Amino acid sequence: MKSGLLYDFWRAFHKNRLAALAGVILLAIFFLAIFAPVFATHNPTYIRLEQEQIKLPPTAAHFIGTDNLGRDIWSRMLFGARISLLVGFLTMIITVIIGVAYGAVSGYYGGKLDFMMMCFVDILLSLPTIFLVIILAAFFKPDFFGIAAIIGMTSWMRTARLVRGQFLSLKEEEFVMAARALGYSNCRIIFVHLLPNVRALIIINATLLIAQAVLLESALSFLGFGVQPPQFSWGSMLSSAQYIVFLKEAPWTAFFPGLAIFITVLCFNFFGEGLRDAWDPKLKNY
Amino acid sequence: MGNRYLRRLATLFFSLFVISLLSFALIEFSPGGAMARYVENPNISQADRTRMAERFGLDRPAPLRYFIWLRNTVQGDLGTSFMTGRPVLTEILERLPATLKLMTFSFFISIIVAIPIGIYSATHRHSLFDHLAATGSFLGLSLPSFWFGLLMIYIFAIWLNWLPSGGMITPWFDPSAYPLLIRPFVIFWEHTRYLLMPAIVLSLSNIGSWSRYMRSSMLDVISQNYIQTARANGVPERKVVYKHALRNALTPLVTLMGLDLPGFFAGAVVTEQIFAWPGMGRLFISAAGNRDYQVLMGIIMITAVLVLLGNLLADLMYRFLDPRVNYEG
Repeated sequence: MKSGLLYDFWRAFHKNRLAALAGVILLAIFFLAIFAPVFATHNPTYIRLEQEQIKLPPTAAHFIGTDNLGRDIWSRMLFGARISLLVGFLTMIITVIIGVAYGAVSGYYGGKLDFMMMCFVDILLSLPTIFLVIILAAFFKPDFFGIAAIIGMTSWMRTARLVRGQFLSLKEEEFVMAARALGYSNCRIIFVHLLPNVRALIIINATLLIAQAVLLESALSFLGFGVQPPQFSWGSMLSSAQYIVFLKEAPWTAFFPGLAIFITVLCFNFFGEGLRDAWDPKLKNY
Repeated sequence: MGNRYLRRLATLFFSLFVISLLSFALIEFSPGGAMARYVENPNISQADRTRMAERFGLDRPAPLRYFIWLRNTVQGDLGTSFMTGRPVLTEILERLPATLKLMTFSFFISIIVAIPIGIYSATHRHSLFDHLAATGSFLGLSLPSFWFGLLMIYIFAIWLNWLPSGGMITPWFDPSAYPLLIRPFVIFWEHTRYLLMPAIVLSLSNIGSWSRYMRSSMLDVISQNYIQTARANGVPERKVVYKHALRNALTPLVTLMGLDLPGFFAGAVVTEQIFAWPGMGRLFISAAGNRDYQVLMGIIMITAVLVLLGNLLADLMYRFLDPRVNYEG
């Protein structure tokens, strides 16, 4: 009888077609983003202001048209994917590191420390974090790494709670007592003995975090506080469509980048849900 | 019991204090400072900026300014906007009703759509509808609200020309131009047609998560003994679901609604921007761009107060719906 996370993953995804499809689409998107220069038909930042070059509808030369500065949208979407996905992954990594460390310490030590740490989390959770994100992004004018740091630093609370809850119950298990009896340090118990037990939960959570991060980054860039020119992401490509006239004249400039965000986020969500079904049948809603 | 609410209230004020300290520090340690937006203006010299900073009291050390801010805020004075020179509280109170109007309308849309979907999914588990609802809620949670908003504007405002693309009311709208008999309907439609698109966009993610939550909470309740007993006693299924189960299934949802409030405010920021809705979120965005510190602090604090009061309300509702809950201890 085989077992292990990878085996469960394989078996479940064999059955769960939707999650498997989501995974395949995600791989295709990664592939396109990584090899953006190969698939791009035009220079994504090349501006052509001639009247017959701007706001072109989809044609053979420009698969999905050109924007208000005559840039090829298909090529921009390929390169924009890089920033969007990169910010998503970086944010996820930062969120997981902060959240897991915070939750692990809080859950493992328990007692007064846990109470105070969770009080702080509750307070942060009662604040719409987009306010803090907008302030930081508006004042710092960060590059994509900065944006990932800002979003990561304001969205780790739920991860921390999740990990803390697991640690609270896990630390009562016998293997932890055994480890303590052997005189292992708290640090070793947390990272070597306890952490591997929650890795499935963390990976599921991480997948969903990427989805959220991609959404938040695109919203931020849409509002004009995110990625600044000459860098661009899917979200900032929609930014100019805020003007009704522009939306009316060239709806495709808003439609396709938004569709890309939607599909990517949807796939991450489906994939994450597939992982949950595979690894944590208890969490399933019947 | 009174003791418990006293403690809740103390926690509320402590939370507000921490939030104010945190936001103040965040704004304070950000690079540039309040006068940074004038740096690139050639008509404003360094001397002008120094004078302006002095006039605003910005030359004093940050901790002192925090205490001044705190003292004034406790007395109900949130300071003066750097941009307009008007009291921050006035500016916010002008905008707050619009935001609350949008959120209330959207809240009711979410409830009216999410709860029946959740109930039906739970009572018809694994039916086609259940699967569609599950997929639909995923779509709702994954849709970028600004993109969905733009699509709606394109379809309903530009293409079909049914609804206005933005704003809250037609400036020259005059109800007295209509006959008395239909006037209420005209007024109602005038408000609704502006509200409809932004409210739907704002309720989207709520519908997604609340309907799923309602489903699983309903399933939890239905599997309990007292429901089986009711069924065994021959109570009709409709009555079992709507009379016996619903109330208990709703209680966890109330808590979730309270927890979702911050997300609701966050969604309002984006939605207001798309639909040019003259609410607090748009005020925040322009204040962030202009480095209007006082307005930013004011909006954060007002929002925090509303969210914390909302949570308190959810707590009270929970007790009302489920009298078993006893917090002694």
